[in-house]
Amino acid sequence: MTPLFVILVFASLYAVSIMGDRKGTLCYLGALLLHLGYIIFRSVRLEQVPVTNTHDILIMMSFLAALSFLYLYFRKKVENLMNVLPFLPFTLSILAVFYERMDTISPNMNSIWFYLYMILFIAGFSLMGIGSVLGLMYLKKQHSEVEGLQYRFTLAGWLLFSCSLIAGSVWFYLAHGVYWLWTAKELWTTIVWFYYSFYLHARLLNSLKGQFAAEFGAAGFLVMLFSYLGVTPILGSPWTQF
Amino acid sequence: MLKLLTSLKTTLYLIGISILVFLAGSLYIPKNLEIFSEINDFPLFQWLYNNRDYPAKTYWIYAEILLMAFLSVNMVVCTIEALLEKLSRRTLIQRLSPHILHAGVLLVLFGHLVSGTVGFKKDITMYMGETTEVDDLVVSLKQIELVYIKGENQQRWRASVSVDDKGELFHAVIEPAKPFFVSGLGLFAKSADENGRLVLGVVHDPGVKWEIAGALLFLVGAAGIFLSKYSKL
Repeated sequence: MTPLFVILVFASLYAVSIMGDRKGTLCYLGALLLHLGYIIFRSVRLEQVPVTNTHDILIMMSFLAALSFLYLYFRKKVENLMNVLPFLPFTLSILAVFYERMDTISPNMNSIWFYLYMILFIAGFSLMGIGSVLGLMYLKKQHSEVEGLQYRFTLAGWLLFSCSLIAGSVWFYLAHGVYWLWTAKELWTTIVWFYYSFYLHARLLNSLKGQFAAEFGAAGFLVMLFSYLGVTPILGSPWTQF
Repeated sequence: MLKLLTSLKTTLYLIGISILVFLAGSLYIPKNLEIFSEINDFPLFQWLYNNRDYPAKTYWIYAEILLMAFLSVNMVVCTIEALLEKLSRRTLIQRLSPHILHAGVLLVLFGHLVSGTVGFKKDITMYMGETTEVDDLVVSLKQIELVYIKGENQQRWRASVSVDDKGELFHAVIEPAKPFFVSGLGLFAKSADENGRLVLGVVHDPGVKWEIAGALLFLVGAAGIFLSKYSKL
């Protein structure tokens, strides 16, 4: 079985699980196991946590999103979750297919701060992504509990994302002597941070809480995705393997 | 006026406009590399002074500085107003954590201001056995070792240097992502080759300690928010 085939299998299982019944749940659990197997395979191959290139990062984000949904499904018992929930791990897994698997890193990346940066970034990105999907669910069903969950997931994701920026700045300073660069990529990272800051503050206003906040938070996933995957090829920022 | 400064709507307007200005900047930089290619090699204000003849392409940086200044004032005033309210012991962490986090953001912004105002960055090329003066330091390059580490895509360099800081002698090995700091200066091994040539990056950035202080405060605030909002998962 080639790695590409394995990814396509678990992504398809995530897609199939959208049907939502008992079979759907089993497909979801199957996908999760296969997904975990793929991550273990990559870890063994790289002999480290697979977070050093875009392919592996998307796979990890997708896995964390899938795991968090499991928590929502069993612990929070959110209605109709299975009909929407696999959308995020499916999308991220399919996106990973388009990125080359890289088995080496530059000497500069071989730092505990880099790994900390990446792990926090992946966790933050996944949680904010789940927040966006929950926002979409709220817009469809208008359950205030779902909107509350969207806020909690987004806030947790934003805090982890902020911590990742701190770790990333420390790493970049140790590697290059600067903690901030004026490039389109860094500006978009800042845009994402401000975008979610806007959402978190807007939700404190009664006039914006609910529909507007949910829409704004849900759209954040697109801003985040563009910031991570779109800025370099579209705006022409310097390429990095992560 | 005070009402305007303490208003959450003011915060939202400032953040919203900042996003648009950053967006403009992200479009200007790649399209005007003849101007922006050196922006990361100088403290920001020195670079802005050097490029003062291009206001049509750099205006967004001035706008962003202004917006960050307004946002800082907004954060300070809101924090003071919130702290003047009565705090109960039961909700102390919940109430204080966001303000500690905001104080962290303020320090980070101040660190950026300091970094953009003072300090310097320069690259020095040295050969094995050579000695050079960097500010008040005398740096000698003793040895360069090139090693291959499994999993890395190029040879890693290890530069052994000795640094004389006004009579006090230090020995250090500088590697990628492992610089050496002495007397407020950072020495970074940027590249090296088998001919014994080393490019040594020398950085003096007084803003970094403010950044670290801000980051630590932010982490304390973030931990408080986690503790108060997610203690019952």
